[in-house]
Amino acid sequence: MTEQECYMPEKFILQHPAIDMQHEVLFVLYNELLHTLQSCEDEYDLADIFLGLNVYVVSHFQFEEDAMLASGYDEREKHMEGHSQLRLGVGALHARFLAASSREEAREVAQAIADFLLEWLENHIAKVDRRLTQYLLEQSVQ
Amino acid sequence: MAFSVSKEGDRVTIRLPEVFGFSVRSDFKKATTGHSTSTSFFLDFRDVTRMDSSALGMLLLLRETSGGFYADITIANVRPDIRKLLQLANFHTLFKIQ
Ligand SMILES: [Fe+2]
Repeated sequence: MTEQECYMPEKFILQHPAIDMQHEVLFVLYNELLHTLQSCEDEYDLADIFLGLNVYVVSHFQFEEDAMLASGYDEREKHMEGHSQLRLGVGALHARFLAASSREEAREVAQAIADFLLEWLENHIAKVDRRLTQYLLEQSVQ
Repeated sequence: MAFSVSKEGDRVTIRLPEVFGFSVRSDFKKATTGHSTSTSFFLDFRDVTRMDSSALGMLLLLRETSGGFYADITIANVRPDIRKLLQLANFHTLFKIQ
């Protein structure tokens, strides 16, 4: 890795290389969202960032869910409920974004998605994923 | 080797620099946007020895700006340690990595 702008606050590092890397990519996409909302130069389309987020959230959740299944993690169901909450929350906001009738409204919904995503990431990584990665590391599942 | 781009028909080849990270974000975005939907991208990683998570974000956004599931992106000539990073990020499920 290179010296870089810090995307993921250090407190979220869980010492599981794959899960940490995937969380970091989610923070990068979150930052792209903020970058675009602040109308910096070279911004991507909000619509493309949302698609990227959706795709990567699905890929990351699948990774964790496979690891939980393979390792016999007994909090799997509960953990997956947390994943569903994010999928549903972002899905509903994404639909509102697509239905927005003005650029202003679209930006407001995009801001709501950014806030929702950050809050979810902070809670989920700090508590739910921390328990999972501790278990996986004890089982030596990388 | 610095960042370089060439285009032949519908195929864009990008040779990435030794450090693929936030510092090339602007060049990468310029090189990868504004093409027709039939464009394929060949990302030559032969010089890349370091890569950060912002590079992974750029790859994901390229995938979406060029057709999502249907995007035609090849990541080639990847060194083993960089391949490992792509795998940790689960990118082998989203991209063709040669
Ligand atoms: Fe999780």
